[in-house]
Amino acid sequence: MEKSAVITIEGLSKVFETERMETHALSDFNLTINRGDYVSISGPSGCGKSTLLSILGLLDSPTRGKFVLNNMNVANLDASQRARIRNKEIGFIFQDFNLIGDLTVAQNVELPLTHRDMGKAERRERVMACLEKVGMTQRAEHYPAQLSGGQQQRVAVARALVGKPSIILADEPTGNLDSKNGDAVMDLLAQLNGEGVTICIVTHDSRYANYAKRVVKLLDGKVVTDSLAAQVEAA
Amino acid sequence: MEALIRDMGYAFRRLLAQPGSTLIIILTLAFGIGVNTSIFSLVNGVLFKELPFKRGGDIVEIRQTAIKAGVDNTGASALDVKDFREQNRSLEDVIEYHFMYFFIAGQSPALVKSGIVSANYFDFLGVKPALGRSFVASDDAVGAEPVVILSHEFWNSHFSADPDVVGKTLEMNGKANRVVGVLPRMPQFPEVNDIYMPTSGCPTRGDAEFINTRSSRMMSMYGRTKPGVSLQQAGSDLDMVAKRLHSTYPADYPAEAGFGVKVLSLQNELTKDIRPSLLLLLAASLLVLFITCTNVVNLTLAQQSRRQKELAVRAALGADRIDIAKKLLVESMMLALAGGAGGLLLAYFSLDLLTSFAATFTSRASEVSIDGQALAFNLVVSVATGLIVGLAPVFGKQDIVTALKEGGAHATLSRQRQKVRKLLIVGQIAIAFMLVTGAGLMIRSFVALQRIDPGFRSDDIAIATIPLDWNKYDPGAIRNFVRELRNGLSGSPEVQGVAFTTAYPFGSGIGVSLGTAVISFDDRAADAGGGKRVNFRTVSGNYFELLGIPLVAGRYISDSDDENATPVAVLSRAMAEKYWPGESPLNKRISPDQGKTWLTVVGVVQNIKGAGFDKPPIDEYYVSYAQSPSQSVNVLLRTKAAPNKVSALVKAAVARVDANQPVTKVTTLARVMSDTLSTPRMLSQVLSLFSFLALTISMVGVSGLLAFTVSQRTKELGIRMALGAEPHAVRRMILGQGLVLVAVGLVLGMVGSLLLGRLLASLIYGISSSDVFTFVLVTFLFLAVSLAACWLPAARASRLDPNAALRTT
Ligand SMILES: Nc1ncnc2c1ncn2[C@@H]1O[C@H](COP(=O)(O)OP(=O)(O)O)[C@@H](O)[C@H]1O
Ligand SMILES: [Mg+2]
Repeated sequence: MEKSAVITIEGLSKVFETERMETHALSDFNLTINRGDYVSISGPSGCGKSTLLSILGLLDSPTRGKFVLNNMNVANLDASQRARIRNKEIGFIFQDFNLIGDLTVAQNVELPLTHRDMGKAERRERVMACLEKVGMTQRAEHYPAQLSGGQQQRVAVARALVGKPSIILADEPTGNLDSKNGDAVMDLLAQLNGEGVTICIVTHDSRYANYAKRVVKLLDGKVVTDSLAAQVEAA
Repeated sequence: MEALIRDMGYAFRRLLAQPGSTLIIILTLAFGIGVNTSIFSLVNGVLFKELPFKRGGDIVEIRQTAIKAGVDNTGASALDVKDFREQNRSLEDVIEYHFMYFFIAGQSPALVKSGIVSANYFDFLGVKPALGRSFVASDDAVGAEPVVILSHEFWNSHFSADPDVVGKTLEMNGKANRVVGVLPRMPQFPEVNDIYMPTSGCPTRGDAEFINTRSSRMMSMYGRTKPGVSLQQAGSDLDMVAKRLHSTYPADYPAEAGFGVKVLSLQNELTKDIRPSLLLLLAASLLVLFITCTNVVNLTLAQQSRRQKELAVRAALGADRIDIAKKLLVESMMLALAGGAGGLLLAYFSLDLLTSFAATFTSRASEVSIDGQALAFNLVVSVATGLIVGLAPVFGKQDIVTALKEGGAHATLSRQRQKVRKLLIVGQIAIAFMLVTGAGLMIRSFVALQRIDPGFRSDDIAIATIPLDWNKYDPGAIRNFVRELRNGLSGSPEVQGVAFTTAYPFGSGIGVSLGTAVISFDDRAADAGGGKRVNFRTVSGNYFELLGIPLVAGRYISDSDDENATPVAVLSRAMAEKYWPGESPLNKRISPDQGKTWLTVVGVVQNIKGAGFDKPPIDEYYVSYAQSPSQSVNVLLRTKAAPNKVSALVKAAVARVDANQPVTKVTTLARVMSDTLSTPRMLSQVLSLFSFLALTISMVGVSGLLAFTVSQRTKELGIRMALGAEPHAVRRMILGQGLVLVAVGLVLGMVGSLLLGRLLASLIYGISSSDVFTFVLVTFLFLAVSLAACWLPAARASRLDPNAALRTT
């Protein structure tokens, strides 16, 4: 069966020019992520994982190279265009949750929908459906400060889901959680992938890497291995 | 004590560590406190301070009125003064006052203004001469030796402060006057004079016939209520005296004139015209102080947000809330006192400006000073400012410690601080709006005043005032003087036209005398509308032509209306319509002296504004200079020459006619008219300055708060952008936050303006204090300026790199 690619990256480089030096965070990078994939990206600190995820999430643009997202060339867009694509195509989950403290749980989850042309009732319905999915319905009117870390991250997952994005990008989603809460979040992601959501997560914890179907290992801005999880286990 | 010194040292080091913001805060406070100190000195000196005489607050003006004849102040005759003094039971004493000009012969011709007063005058005021003696009762006697008392200023300027001046003579109008005393330096009352004379010194007042004519009224009367006697009680007491006089001497108080007497607080009378303007200034300066205080509180709060860590560490080390509050208070007190000192300097340097402004409307100008009361005011305001600035940030922060203890609650704390800052900004905007609308109303009113057509041409008209020595100039001599001066001036190529008058429009002061006369009509009996007091001016031929006053009927006065021709009068249209409604007044006759002379009406001219732009035109008539010569000579010249050139020209021409004759004033008509607008002009200027600063401060405040918000909320903005907020949406969000504050401020400001409008209502001309045009214009101005002020931080927010923003903590 021919799988359709959500993301195709070819010959992509990212160079940071700082005062006295150039850092090649990614060089001549190639990666394809297909619909329904669950990719885990791992590697030592500083190898370019976060940079890659920022580019995949259109928070940053590549210095060179080809980046196709859902058959659109997105390598060179202006800030507004990237914001619109982020809103529609990407769901983010961050290490430090990044919920907005002034907003309730429901309002946080609703945020991506506020940038769309969508009625209040429909937004509310989608928000409650996603909270249901992550088991946070009871806390809809609470503020982030009233939740534990694990609960906050589940809200963040709901927020990533609510816009029905093409892909969910998660940068160290378990980094600020204890192992019990970390496991819960990873279970949740696995369950979502089972329901067809495409996921790409960055983690340096190999235990969590194995939740994924496919593991990409980076070293100094290059892919060193790209294998199905079963093969990794076998090797 | 030791702790206080330690806290002061700490505060001092901290303030020095950030010299920039410390300087800004001190300058802001200096401005706010300085403005208040100087306005306070002005208002206190003019309005609030008790008159600086013996029980000055109890001095009253006793004013005779003739309501039915339309006269507010008939003045008092010598017999009036005597009877009111002897018959009242509520006053300690009664004094009289009037003034006149004398000529001092000598190298340079000079005029001397002399107060002519009853012998008890200085004792009444509680003033002891610095040299010599006061007047005594015998000085008042008819034929007594002529004596004078010098004002301190005149003693300095004319006698070079000669310590042996007492006993020397001062020769005026060919008469020697012996100097018997010199006054101390003192505020003079009711006006500033060079010298003082007893009543016997005045050729009019000292004349036996005048003294015995009850209806010859020209003096002012003042008294002082006995302790415990109220103004009302004194009023009814004097009313009884007046009623008795009216029934005893009915011929001198004609019933149809409606004579009466008013007892008025002098302090009130001297200041009542300017009171609303000064109170407005005081209110405006308090608003400016509020704005500067809130601005400093705002800066302090912003600094504290940045000092969060330091405060947290201090709290962790065991400093309690009181401790922290004390440190902040010491710091703000030091700032406020430094600002107060700066304000004092500002007030000190603006004092001359204030006193010269005050001199345009009150003889109390010399009492405007940075005195003990002003210093106390300055100190109180500074300390209050320090308290407000120091305590406002702590106020409502009961949870500062709990917040710190809870840890991670910094956000709550700074959000609370934000809320206080937002409130302050809203307040600033509201006040700035009030000040700007106030200034806008004053300016619109000022423009409206200037646009009023006075009814005559004022461009290229120069005026010279030449009060003739009454000792030397009889009617014939005046005619000759005027004729020769006209010839001398007309010959000059600079001069396109010449005319003479006793009183030019808007004119007042030395040598300018608008006459008033009780007129009779030969076409009706005296009781049928006769006996009305009307103003008149004496004018030469060419007067109406020169000023472009249009003719309504008949003809103008000409130079051939001289002593050999029939006496004529030209009426203002208002007078013509009042006394001959629907009828031509031409060839009717009026008499200014109960029928001794009759003037034939030969013309009617258009009304002019005579006294001020905002005053209604008065009924008046004009008589011919050649037919009733007066020593009050004012030359009007049509010329394009510069004032100093005109001055030289006129002085030379006058000197050719009479080398000893002074020219007291050379000015332009435009200048004279513009001077009558000095109060509205000053109010417009001061309010404009205040409102410009208020607008700037409040807009810098909004902009700063937004920039601060953006920097505090960078992470949140990053999150929103990551989730799809486009740059323009971010910009709109930040703009919206700023504009909401502005909108709330504007609404409050409008309410405040409408409430304060009543203070303004009496000061503005031609528009209402809730003038829609001004309000709309100012609202748009605020929206435009605040859009600009909010745009910068909003645009910066929209250009944030979401990736970098997400990484901030
Ligand atoms: N904004 C930046 N400016 C300069 N250098 C950067 C920037 N972001 C990342 N880098 C550099 O790029 C490299 C990759 O960083 P990153 O992608 O954050 O690594 P990882 O997430 O794998 O730890 C590092 O050497 C880092 O120092
Ligand atoms: Mg990383």
